[in-house]
Amino acid sequence: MVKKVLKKLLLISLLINVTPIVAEEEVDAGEYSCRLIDFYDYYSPVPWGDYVDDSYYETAFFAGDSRMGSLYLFGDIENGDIHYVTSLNLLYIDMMKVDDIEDEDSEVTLYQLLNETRKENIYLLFGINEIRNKDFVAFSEMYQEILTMLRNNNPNVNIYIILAYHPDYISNLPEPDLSEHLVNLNTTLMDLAIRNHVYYLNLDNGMNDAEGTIIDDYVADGLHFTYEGTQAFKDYIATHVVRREVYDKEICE
Amino acid sequence: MIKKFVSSLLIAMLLMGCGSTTTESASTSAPEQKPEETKETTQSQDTSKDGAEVKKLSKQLVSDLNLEDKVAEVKERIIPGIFFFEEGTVNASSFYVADKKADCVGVFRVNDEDSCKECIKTYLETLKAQLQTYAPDEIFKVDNAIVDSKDGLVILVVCDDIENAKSAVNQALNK
Repeated sequence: MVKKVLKKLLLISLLINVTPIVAEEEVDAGEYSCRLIDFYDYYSPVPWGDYVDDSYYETAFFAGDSRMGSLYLFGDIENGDIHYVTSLNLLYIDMMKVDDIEDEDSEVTLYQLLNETRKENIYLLFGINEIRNKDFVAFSEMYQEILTMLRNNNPNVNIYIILAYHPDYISNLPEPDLSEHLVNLNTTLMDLAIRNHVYYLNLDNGMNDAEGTIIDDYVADGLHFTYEGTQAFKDYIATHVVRREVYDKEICE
Repeated sequence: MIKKFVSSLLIAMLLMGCGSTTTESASTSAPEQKPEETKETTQSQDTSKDGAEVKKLSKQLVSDLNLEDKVAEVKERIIPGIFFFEEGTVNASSFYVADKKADCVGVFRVNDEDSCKECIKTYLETLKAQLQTYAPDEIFKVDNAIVDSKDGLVILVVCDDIENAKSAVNQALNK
């Protein structure tokens, strides 16, 4: 008798563990629900699209090293937030002061500005000063910290990671080491983009010459943009904006 | 007959599921916890002692060399990412660095002085390469960087006042 009761109890306990999934399915089957599905391919760089007009820059925040400084100096963007730190090492982003032509005594760091901004579209250009590093583990961890902070501050923010374009020359890092380090850096950046579901821009697709490096006229010293290069960079940004309405689809079932 | 078989099977499955967890937690984890805990406590005490020592020394050097307004202390967790030390060679570290300048003060408690010095050498070479582009006037300081060690303590100083730095480092190392 006791055995029978025990067996029944065991069977009941097992059934209790299984039934909720079935029940859930049954309930769902009787209802009509819609979900917003993101069809964007985060594994690929942002594809080409129509030009955005200048009002787009009001929604944009640009942060980076001296390469981003070119956009500040020669970009002719009057309504955008552009901030940069010359010789920025990302590990020091909360220590190094931003370059501020109007206020040279400014004590503000890029980290502070990134933490404060609530702009919808944030562009990040980091990594060239770390290009000689033997690995990008610590760099990646710090980058992740920044991405997490931006997402926490504004869950709907669109983040664009800009990959490092291939410069003509980097002091003390001759080829093929330069190319190898660039691959490692850009792989790290793409991995961050994929893991965090953020976008990435690959300037090498369109701004490189036949040799696979940045077009000579676009850079003054092999690395930093000239006026012409900055305009090409700006055009690239303006034609590589993700339009969410294209990729967000409501699926009802 | 089938009912009996199914019931027995279910009981066996349940017992297997529960039994293994209990066995693991009772027989393997518990007895080993104590020695590990003791070891960890001793290690953390040593690390904390080393940490306090390197912090005190680096702060003293920054003060002696009048670098307070120039350099700022770096969070300890990012120091390995700056120097790329071999794993397990550095027990404690403290590092002060300037914004856009070459000046820095680093104190490291290490197991392997040569390995640590090699990493510092690479750091200085990289720093020099960067400065060539952004602040060439700073390169002479890097060329005259002081990297010295004694009894597992390694010190790095880059600053303008090289002579004063040498004597401050000697004093810190009891040389």
